Amino acid sequence: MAKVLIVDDAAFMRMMVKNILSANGHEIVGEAENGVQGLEKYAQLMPELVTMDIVMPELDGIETTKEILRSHPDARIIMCTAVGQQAKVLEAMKAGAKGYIIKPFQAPKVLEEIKKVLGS
Amino acid sequence: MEANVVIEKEQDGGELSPFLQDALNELGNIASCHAVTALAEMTGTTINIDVPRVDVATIGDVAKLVDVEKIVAGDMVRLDGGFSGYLQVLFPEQSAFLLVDHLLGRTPGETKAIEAEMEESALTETGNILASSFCSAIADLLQFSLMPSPPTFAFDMAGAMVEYAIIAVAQAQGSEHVILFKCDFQESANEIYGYILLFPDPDSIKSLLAALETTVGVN
Repeated sequence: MAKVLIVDDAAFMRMMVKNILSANGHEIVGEAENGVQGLEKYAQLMPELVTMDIVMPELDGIETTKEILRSHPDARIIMCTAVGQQAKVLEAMKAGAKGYIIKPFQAPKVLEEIKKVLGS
Repeated sequence: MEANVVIEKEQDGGELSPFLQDALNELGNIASCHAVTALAEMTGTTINIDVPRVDVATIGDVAKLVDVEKIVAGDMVRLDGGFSGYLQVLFPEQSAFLLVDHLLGRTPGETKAIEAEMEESALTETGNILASSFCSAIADLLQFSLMPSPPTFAFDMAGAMVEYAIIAVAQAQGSEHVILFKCDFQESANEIYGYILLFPDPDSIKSLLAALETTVGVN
């Protein structure tokens, strides 16, 4: 089970991810409301996994992903996106994200993607 | 060309040609079904959708479209890409409260106001997901990119919210008329109602028709 950092500007989505992961044995070590906070918390907490929203204020998920990977090339980041933003997901995958999950979150699919990324 | 004739008629007298009416109806129907499916996934229940309608509207028509004094919780996004305009996802007050109850695992009737960050966030994200599903369906069908902006949330009278979008689009085209798509939906178990309103920019109607014609192989 993994130590996870959740990065999403929506409190509700952070709660959703937290509930799914906590119920399945993962430890939420931190939460961030935007990319800038995400960068700070990553450096501070060194999580095993990050769930990253794409559209966020201050610094979006794609730029945050690039910045994290610049300093920590082994970082495992899963992008979270609403259905209409799949073009952004492709951009994030090219930037180095290891997987993605689609909103609205379906717990089995979230867990499956996390298992896949952690195993990679 | 048929598309130009259609637009001229709309600008002249506020009438939609049968082709445009049908095309927008079908497009909106498909997109609404996708959006409502996303809502059904969030609530884990069945959502029924009414037959959508396409109208030419003015600010003065707002009262015919919505119950103007009813308080609604709503998200509005700006659409950009192969198609532009505004999209609103609106829930009447009591429906918004019931939806929050459902999303936050509360007893139905527990939520009586949208005050806490989590309550507003739940509704904002719901609107974001529905808007994104709506856009994704149009983009997939017409093979172009369509991105919604981050949503703006408001808890206000329906009339004020709809007027805002109509004014924004009408000002852009220098006309009093806008083309408006409306779709009503209902989640039967918890009596959650809502509707989706699409306000396309006038230039987008031409792009939309061209893309539709290409999709169905007319040109």
